[in-house]
Amino acid sequence: MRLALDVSQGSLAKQGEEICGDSLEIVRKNDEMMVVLSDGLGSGVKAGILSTMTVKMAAKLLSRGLPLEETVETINKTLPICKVRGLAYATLNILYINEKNEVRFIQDDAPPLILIKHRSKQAIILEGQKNIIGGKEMSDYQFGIDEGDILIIVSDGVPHAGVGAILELGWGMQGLMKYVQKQLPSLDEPEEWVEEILEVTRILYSEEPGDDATVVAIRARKPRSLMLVSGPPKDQAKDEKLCKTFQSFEGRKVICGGATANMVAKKLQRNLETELEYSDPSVPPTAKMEGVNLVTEGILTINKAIERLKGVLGGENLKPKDDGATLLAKELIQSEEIFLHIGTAINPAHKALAPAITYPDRIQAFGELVHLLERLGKKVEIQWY
Amino acid sequence: MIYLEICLGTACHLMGSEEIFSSIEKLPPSVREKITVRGMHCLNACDQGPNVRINGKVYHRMTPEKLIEVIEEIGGEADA
Repeated sequence: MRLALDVSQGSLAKQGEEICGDSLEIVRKNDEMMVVLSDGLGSGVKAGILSTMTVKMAAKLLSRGLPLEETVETINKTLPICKVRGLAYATLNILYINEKNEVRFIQDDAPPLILIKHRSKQAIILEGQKNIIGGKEMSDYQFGIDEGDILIIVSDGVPHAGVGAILELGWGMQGLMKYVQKQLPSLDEPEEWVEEILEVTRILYSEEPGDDATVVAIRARKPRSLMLVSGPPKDQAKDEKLCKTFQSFEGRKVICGGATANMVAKKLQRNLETELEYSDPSVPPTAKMEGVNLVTEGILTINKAIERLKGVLGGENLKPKDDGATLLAKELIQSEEIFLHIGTAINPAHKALAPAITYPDRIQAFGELVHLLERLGKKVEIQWY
Repeated sequence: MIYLEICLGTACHLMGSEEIFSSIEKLPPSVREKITVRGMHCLNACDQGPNVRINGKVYHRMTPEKLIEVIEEIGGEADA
């Protein structure tokens, strides 16, 4: 079975620098995923430009279908070398995972890869073979991953944390591994791993990072399907059919919209319990219904979720918030096949309010949502009612 | 006891239902403890929001000030 991959990333910039000199690009192509990570020589804007240039070029080549080794060779031949230090101005590390859950990681001078095995609850440091790739000696890892496994990639700023300050030689990979093993029972989500490791790194640097530090966590999981219903059908006679389709769907289930939730609750004879928690005052609270994974308000939440997804596409992580929009974005991100069933009935009261309140357009919002989800590599089907 | 239901649907949210909810949290504890608050989706009067239902009676165009008045009134009746 081809596993789905959730990726989370985070960085700390060296103290006094406005930007981080490490860069990352994620390429999803058909059933393959590639993560390109580069550490620019030095720190700050110059390092940031060099590493960004490196990951952008590599990502472009990979997305156009150039094989891994040829991509590495092309970049190695292209990267300028610092005359003083005899080093490339940026490192290049590429992780590749295919549809058979086989992983290859080609690494140029960076800390080793950490693999957390879900079944044995063990964290291990993987050792790469030294191979000449593209005219340069690089570490080459080849292994397989199983459901629930987590891969952690860090830049050298992470194991170096604490050097000359709290710890004389930094916590090193051994210290990091001890920490990972200790946290294993309590952490599961890739976002949590990134946040926790970066937090300890920041503390070990006494809040003043001596180097750029980046953490990437990738989790393999079973692919998911999701059905989202939003808006009652224009023709009331179709309410029954929509509710039955929703009831029989095997996968995650989401309802967006109060009128839709009321309709489903009535037709399927379920209780609808509205929460009163406002994690974000601009997003209406969620509700609970038996057999449904998430119930949110409609168009406002959908538009906020679109904003969150745009952030994810721009390289941001979802904030650990539990407002309806963040939860909706998370449901969508963690599903590979998404079925949208959208009703087109217009609430007459909303129409009456039109001069006073401008409602975002539902059709336009879902058009944008489909576009974003496809850019995130999702298979999306939309059906209008 | 006062049973308060606040509509949290799109129209009511845009017209200030969150402010109604926040105003309840700011009430003195002696008053707050007499109120059971519940959220709900749609009282079928979206053009007159924010809508609330207090002890079964629907109130339209609610404001935090108006809500406190109604609560005091009901509270007074209950005490009498």
